[in-house]
Amino acid sequence: MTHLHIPDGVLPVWLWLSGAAVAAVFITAAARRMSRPPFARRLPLLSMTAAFMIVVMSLPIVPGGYDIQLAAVAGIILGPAAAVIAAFVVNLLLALIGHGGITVVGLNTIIMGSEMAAGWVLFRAFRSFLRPALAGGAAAFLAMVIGTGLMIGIVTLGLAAVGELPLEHIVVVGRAAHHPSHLAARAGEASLRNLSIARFAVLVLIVGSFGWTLESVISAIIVRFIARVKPDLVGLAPVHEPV
Amino acid sequence: MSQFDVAIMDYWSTSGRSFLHRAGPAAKVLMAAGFVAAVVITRNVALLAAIYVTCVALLAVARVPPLKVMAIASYPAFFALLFVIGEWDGTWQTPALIFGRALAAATSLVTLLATTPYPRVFGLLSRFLPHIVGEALFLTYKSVFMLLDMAGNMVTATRVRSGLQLRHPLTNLRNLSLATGKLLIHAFDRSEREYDIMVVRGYRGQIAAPERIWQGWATDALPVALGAGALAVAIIIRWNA
Amino acid sequence: MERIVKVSCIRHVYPDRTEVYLCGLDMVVNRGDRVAIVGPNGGGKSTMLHHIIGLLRAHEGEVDVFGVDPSREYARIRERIGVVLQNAEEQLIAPTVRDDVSFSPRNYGYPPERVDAMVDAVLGELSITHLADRICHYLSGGEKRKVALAGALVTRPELLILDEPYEGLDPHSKHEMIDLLNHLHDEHALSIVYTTHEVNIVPLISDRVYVVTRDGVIFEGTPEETFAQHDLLDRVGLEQPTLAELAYVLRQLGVELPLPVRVEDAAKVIASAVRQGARVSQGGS
Repeated sequence: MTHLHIPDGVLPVWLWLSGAAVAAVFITAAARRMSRPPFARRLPLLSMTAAFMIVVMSLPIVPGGYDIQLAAVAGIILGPAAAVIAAFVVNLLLALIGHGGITVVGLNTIIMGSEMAAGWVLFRAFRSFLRPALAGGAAAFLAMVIGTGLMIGIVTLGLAAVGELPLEHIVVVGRAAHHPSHLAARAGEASLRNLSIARFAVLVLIVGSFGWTLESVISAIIVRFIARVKPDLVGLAPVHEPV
Repeated sequence: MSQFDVAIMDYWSTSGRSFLHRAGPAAKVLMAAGFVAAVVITRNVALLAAIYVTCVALLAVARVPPLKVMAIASYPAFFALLFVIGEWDGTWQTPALIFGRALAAATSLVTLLATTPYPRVFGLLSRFLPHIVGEALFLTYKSVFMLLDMAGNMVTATRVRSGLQLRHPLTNLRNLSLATGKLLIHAFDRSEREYDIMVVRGYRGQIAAPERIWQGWATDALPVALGAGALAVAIIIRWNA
Repeated sequence: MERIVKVSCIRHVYPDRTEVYLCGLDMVVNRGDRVAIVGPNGGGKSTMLHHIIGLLRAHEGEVDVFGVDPSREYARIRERIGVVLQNAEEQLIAPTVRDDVSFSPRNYGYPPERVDAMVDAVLGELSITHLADRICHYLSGGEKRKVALAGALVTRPELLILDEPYEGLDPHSKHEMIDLLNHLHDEHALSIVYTTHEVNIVPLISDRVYVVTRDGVIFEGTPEETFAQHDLLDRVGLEQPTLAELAYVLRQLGVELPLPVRVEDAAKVIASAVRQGARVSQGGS
């Protein structure tokens, strides 16, 4: 997996509502841009690429149930505006079939959309001095690092909030059982919180780094293939605009 | 995700004739929304279990295989596990709460999509989304089926041409990556043809016809009541905590 | 007779630099005609159709449909043309059958009540009313093709364009499709233009045949005239219908028995010849 699908009920309400609001702003702006020609022509491509990202999760490219998503490759093809909409559509559909949290669709859209947009930006930057395969692989790797960093940052924000998490339950139980002083209780709460964030971040980075490497290699192979067969798909040749 | 998850849920939703299938999409969306809201608000593991069991029971009555749905909806469990490991304090309540929330929410949504054909769900959602996003929802869902078929054929072709061998994982990785690249190009070509077809057929912004979202109190009252009831219980429990 | 389509000496260059020249004879369709376009693979049949429906713009030459250049003004004539492309599945855009058949009139802005009436009428005409609420993805190949046809006919077009309409159909479905198209032609004066490899079907649903190859439009005539051109067809890699091939082989054996290209007509000729005795030509082998 390139990034974690945050399940429902883990993050505080204010965080995922804020995420939804921010995502809504981006989606609205992207939708306005997409609705103007020639962007409107890209609706089928956007939909097909979003479908591709969903379908690719089911391919047995890596045995053992590891799912890849090729978000960076999709971003290279779509560009930032269409990428935001595609990210939203993918996350909404995944949530509806139980493969992601519905409340965190906004946050997941921000994470995935950022990864896709970063893939597009980085590929354009790298291809000026790297071969397409290397540019694609490097762009995918860094885009996933960015996406994962964003995800850890969001979860950190969530874990840092007091009173919204199971953590508070534990603190309440601890306070009731041991009657710690107020200051000691707050210190205990803070150290427990920091331990949780660190533990979570380490876990994600261990799992993530394996995923980044694997998916970068796969992305490089795919970008090289596309560059040879249909270079305009990854912006390497002028696009033929039909009638 | 299994490539069959989407296809089988679509089949269940379109082939069923139960009271839940006949209820309007708005009522079932409200039910799912009520369940998810309750999941988010509550810290009561028993309520989460009750929501989960209610969904499974509804599916059983609707003749949708509940075990299969539970399997599909268990996907978030892995990611919930990561959060549990990250936050575990040695008590059983924390993992129960995290798992319970993830599973109850996912099962609520799968119950919706397993008993409501996707055009009706998307038709309702499209009313609240930017137009192009609503259109993209329909086209993407349709495209998933087409690409799943294509992907299946491609994997089969790779296998029969000895492109997948147990002892050569790196070769497998390369071959399947190439097949995936081919799939992407097919998808692109298909999308070009799809646009041409839309133009020829006069597309001006309306893929699906507007749906009737409310079927009447006789069929819609129960789902709405269940969702509202779960939410009310969650609020009451939280208020009294 | 009113001319509704003319394609004259067009040249098109594809993105991969492939050039297609369709010179030679002009392709003309008059109102009420049923026109078959036959030819080898890669000859330009689909390219010609795509120019007619405005998907491609010719770099040279003339394409005129209902008096306009379709690549520039397709919107003016869109409602007068129905299109069924080679892959019916690709043509089905909307989720359910009713959604898909109503796609064009809804997008043209017809009132909902009128749209419903149009859809019900065409579903009834094609005997697929029972499919109205089904999701397109789950239909059989033949059903999808019928739904695609319904979507093309819903606005009662004057011209129907079909790209390989019989591909993938079993024999029964093929004849069902032929009967349906002939019925529509007879009832509604529908002009039909289609491409096909199924030369045996062409005589059943064509008034004129155009042979299109890489060298352009090289022959035009009735089905009987076209399929009598054994050497020409052989040269361009086209097979003759079975009955025409039979007549040719009989001629080689010294039996002069010109056969019509329709089975019923050919059977009458053979029966008559058998009763009278076949005439053996002077130098026959």
